[in-house]
Amino acid sequence: MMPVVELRHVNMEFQLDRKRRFTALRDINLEINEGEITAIVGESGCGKSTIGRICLGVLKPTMGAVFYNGRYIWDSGFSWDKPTRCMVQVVHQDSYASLNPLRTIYQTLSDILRFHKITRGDKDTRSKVKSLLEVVGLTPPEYFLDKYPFQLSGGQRQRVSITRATILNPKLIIADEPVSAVDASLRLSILDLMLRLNKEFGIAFLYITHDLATARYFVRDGRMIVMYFGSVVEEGRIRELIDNPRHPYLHALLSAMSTSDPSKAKRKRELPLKSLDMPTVDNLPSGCLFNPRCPYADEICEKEFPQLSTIEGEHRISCYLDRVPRWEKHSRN
Amino acid sequence: MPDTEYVLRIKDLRVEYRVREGFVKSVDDIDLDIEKGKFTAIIGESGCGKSTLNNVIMDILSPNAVIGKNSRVFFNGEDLLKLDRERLRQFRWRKAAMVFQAAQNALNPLLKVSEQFLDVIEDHETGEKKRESLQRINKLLELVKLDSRRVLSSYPHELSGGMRQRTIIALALVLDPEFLILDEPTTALDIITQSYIFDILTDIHNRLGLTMALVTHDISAAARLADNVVVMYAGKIMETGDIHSIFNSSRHPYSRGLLNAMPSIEGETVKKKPIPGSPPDLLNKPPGCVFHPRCGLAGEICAKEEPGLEDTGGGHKTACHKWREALP
Repeated sequence: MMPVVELRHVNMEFQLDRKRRFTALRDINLEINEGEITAIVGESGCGKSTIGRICLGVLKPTMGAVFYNGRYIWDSGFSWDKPTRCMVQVVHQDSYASLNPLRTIYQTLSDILRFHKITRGDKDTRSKVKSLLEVVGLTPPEYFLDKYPFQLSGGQRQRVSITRATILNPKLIIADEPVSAVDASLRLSILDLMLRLNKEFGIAFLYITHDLATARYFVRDGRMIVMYFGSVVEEGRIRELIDNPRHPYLHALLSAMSTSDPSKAKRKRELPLKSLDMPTVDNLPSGCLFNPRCPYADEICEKEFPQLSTIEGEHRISCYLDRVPRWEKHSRN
Repeated sequence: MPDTEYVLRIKDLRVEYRVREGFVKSVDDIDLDIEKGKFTAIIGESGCGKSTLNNVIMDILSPNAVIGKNSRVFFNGEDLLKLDRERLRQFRWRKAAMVFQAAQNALNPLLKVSEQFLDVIEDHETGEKKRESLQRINKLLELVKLDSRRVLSSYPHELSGGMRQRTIIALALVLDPEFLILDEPTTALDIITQSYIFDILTDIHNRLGLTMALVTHDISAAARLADNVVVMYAGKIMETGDIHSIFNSSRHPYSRGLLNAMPSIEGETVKKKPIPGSPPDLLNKPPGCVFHPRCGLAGEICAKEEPGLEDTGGGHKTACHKWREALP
């Protein structure tokens, strides 16, 4: 089966000023299959949102290819048509900024229906918008139709954003930190809603986040990709990665995770890191980009960039791993 | 055993914001004591009133806020709501200091970090010589694990988010306050940086024996840092007590729901559940218990009578008619 979206050897560079270029992504390979949920995790500046924008087709990679259903987009003979544009949709982090504050929910949603000639006439449009709101749990829909975004809570606004992303029956939704600005008690309900859309309509999700705990909740049996400074350092099934992480960076991320058990949380912990500072754009280390912070690094790590290679099944890491001790769960408890 | 000492005692605090549609009850008749030398976390979601509570203490409420007539906020026995401008100026930063979110540009972008430190000292007329001040500043920056030579000569934009947040923590400590309020000190920071800042805060608390209050929506931050917890919802205090008691045997359906809505990297994902419904409209709060429309245990009484904070043993207090049924 053809992947919905596929990235092959994608590199992305940004021109910072006349002299300096910044490599945001290095050799990214990614396949998103129909109905699949994939998470991309990493800290700010690791390139996770850039991958999202490339998958969405709003950013053209400097090198490498992007395929939609096997079609090479950005090819010289390629032009966007409506069905291709509609295939991939997005839900942003900040639902307040991503909805027009001067338009009611009805206006925002009905525009799309009219533009794509999905409904005819006001009556038809209104009843369609109502049924859409019901699907995402904004009931009774009459109450929400003529509200402005500021009159809704964060969770409700994010539901409107999700509705907007699903109207055109996309194959894939890029969810870029969709719950990090939503209240804690409601986060799971937004993730549950997206899980339902995945199940009922077979929509694939690319979940971009820095939060391993929500990724674990949302991705279930899907894959996770861990990024560090523009490269993939580890990928595989999310459960395998969290239970048996192999890259020292993922060890550090998992050790830094807090828990809601106070006795565990208060125990003194040493992060398995040599230095806390991320490398800067102007001063990238040679070899493995993680080596200045890695407690296990030695000469080879400073010289050569480790290739992403398979260690077992789908589990791949980019590390000269013999030196890295196995992760022991109790080491973080 | 000596009596517990309190740095801050809040009585019948009510704060409303005047808006076009009426009054938003942000903090609704709450009583709260902050124990001396302890780390207290005030947990709640957006709109629960935790930031308003902060702003009352520092007297930085927005102009449309109205404080209730019977409200009292005692800091070491002195009513803060009655201080005049000059006394208030003496109180802020010297007695109680606040650490703001680094993401909210708490540092002046046009001044070098050293100038921002020296400005505070000079403005509070401590009479300290510049050389002595710089020595002290160096020590404080060491305490937050920053390289003082580099940081002092930098502008805020030259520092990373984590370094800025640590600078803000050191800056808050510069006049040696008795009480430190931390307003979401790690929001918008990466998890590794967060973890590092938590370590620094624990270290400061232990070394200086400072009374600290953490205002946050992040339950795991509270779990890591706090001795005592105050759970707020819609302007009311739902539950207060020792952190272990609240997190391990919460008596309030809201706190339990909140804890159960936290995804984790351990345990079964299917057992986690969101709290149904949405937070109430603060212009039209539900009658009785503010949480009852979302509560699985709610009965007739919950919609009629507002529960008061009731001692449920071991210093643990809960505002719930049905707390006995909520026991595990």
